[in-house]
Amino acid sequence: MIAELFTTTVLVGILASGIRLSTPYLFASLGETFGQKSGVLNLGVEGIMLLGAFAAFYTTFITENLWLGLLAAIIVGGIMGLAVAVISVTLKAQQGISGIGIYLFGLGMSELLFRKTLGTVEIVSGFSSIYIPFLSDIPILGEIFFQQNLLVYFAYIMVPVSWFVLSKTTLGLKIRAVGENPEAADTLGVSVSGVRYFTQIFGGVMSGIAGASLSIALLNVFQQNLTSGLGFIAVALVYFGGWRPLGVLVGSLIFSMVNALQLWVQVLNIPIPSDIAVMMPYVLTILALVIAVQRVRPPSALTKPYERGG
Amino acid sequence: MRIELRDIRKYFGPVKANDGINLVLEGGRIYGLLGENGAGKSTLMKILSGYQPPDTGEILFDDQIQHFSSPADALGKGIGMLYQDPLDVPAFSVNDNYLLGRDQRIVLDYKNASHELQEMTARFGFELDLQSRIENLSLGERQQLELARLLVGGAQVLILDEPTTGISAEQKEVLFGSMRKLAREEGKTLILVSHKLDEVQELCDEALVLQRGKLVGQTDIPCPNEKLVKMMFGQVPERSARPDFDLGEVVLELIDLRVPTYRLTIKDINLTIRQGEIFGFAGLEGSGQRLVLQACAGLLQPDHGKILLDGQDVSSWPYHRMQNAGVGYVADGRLEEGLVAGLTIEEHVELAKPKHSFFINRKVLFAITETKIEQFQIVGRPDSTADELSGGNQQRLLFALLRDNQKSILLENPTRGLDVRSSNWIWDQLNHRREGGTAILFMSSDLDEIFERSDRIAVFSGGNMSRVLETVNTSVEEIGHLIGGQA
Repeated sequence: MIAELFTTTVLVGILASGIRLSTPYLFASLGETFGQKSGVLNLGVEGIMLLGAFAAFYTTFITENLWLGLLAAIIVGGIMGLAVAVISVTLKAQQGISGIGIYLFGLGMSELLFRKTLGTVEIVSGFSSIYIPFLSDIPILGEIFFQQNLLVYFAYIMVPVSWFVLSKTTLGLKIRAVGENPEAADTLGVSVSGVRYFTQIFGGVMSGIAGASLSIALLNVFQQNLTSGLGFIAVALVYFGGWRPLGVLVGSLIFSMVNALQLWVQVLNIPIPSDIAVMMPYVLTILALVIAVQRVRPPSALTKPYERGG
Repeated sequence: MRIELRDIRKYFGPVKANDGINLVLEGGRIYGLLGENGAGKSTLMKILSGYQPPDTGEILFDDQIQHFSSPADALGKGIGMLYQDPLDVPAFSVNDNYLLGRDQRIVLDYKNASHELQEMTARFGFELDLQSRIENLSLGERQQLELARLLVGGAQVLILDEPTTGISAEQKEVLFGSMRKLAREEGKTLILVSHKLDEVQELCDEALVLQRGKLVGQTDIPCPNEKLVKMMFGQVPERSARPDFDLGEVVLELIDLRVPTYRLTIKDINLTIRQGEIFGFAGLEGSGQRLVLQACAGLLQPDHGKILLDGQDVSSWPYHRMQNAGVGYVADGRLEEGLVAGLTIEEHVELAKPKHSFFINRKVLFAITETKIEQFQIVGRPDSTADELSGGNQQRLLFALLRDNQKSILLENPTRGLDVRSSNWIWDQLNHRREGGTAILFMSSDLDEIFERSDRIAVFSGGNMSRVLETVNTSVEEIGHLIGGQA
């Protein structure tokens, strides 16, 4: 039975769905990387993803326009990011606790809205696959990489873009400085709050898109707790990736590949208890973090609200 | 540029940090700002560098009234401040750190940054590795980098807050050289905040003395040291003399000690210290002297050799056991290692007790704390938290927490950042302890302190300890040579 996994078709299938499934991880954890680089930990990613997923799904369901759906997710995500910024930056709340609040709010609110508006699980037709000319014709590779939907491509473009912004631009320099030594940055004329508001709103938008990628591109449904812990894994991936976009990409791929594998294991009816298969990514999260945490040093000012001294 | 301060006042509650200061600073001159701890030097400099606004008063540049919204704003208008702890980002590369707050284009211009930095370092004879990370640079190098950044940022007035603390003798020479160059050749105004009178005498054209928030003296340099001291304190405090003392039995013995850490390994340390002896460790920061102290305190484990306390092998004893055996330790990170920032004096006294009962007897504790506060002349109440105290009072609190009848007391920089009066008080306490037979081991970056206070001296350089010097048979020059690694 296990041998069925090792046919070309199945392997290509696993790899292609692995690439596809990494999209929500990538969006959410790239956004969170910016936030943590600037010294703010947002544990509420999962909640924002749920709200983004619902907003995208509902808007698309009503208007039958995917772009409006995506826009709705971006707006909702941005508003939630703004809320996180107000709580963490202006009100200087304990970030570990307020993040849980944001998550619970998103979980409850998305469920409430779902019950009041849709009530039952509906289906929309999401972003369809785009075949990149020529590249998609390459045997095997084409099928794995170049027959994906728009949001997948967008997520992968965001990896080098994020790297470039963080390491080569003035904005990135300010973000890193604010996360490492806000006192120094402040003295040098960098607005600590301004930078942190930016990263939180950006992170919110990315989480919103991550939710949308689930509800209108990958699964094309919305139900309560659609994300089922994916947002928390995204936060963990930022640690795993050592606060680097490339590291985040590697982490996202590992998790999505394991996920794809367990899906195919279920599809092929291989006699492994499905609970164990489903558990795999989460077990991996814990193991990966144990290994990863000892490698890199987090930004020095992570989770520390900044207050100008007298 | 001519700077004028008019009637600057800044009150913190009942404390008048600056109480009507009037001052005129001319271009091309180097000023020395003197004053004991709490005289208002840092407050005045923070006001001048835009870090905080005055309550009342005006700052004028060439007769134009100025208002600063932030330090960056002040630098834009020509005032730059070099802080005692450099304001940089340890995790950054030199280039990143240099560009922060300066480069406003979208994509960072690293090429130009390297170019500018090279030019600056060459001009002032700075020696620093531009490829390195900030955290791998020495304090002196970080200072040079900050200086370069301030100058490129357009500073016409430079404020340097205790710039020679913790840097090497050569770096100090380079720093002073560049300060002279900036004043004489480029007409910039320099303000040196310091309590080292020798440095002010060596470098400055004019000394400004603050006392309790007021400008109490202004004099051309050179002038006799006594005159400056008198202006600072109102009278000339004697450096309390080191009383002669007959040494007793051997207390502490180090035999072939080796302590490895990931940065530095000290080895072949052999020392014998007697009752009532004061032993000083000299050397640049991080040369190994702290490791020896920490090993003696049980904070670091030696992997070779022995530590004997009263003839008993205590090499592997942990800190608490050493404490109970009569070894006291006073770290120089007062708020980092010695005290708990958020806890009150009272709570510190309770924690430091050798034995605890299940409940805290508040009444008794309050009474003990009050006596300690009086005995150790701490300015604070039993319920003042440690971070509310000034540096000098934190040090007094640390001494108040030391147990009685210690066999040995180990101290890191016991008087760092303290003025003459507080330093004298600290040493009076220590001298008193030695009369009771306590052996005192201390390290200090202040060579004069080592020389004046110790019976014997060892110099550390790159993890190696020099031969032991009798203070009466050596000179400051000899110690200086040994610090530089010349035997």
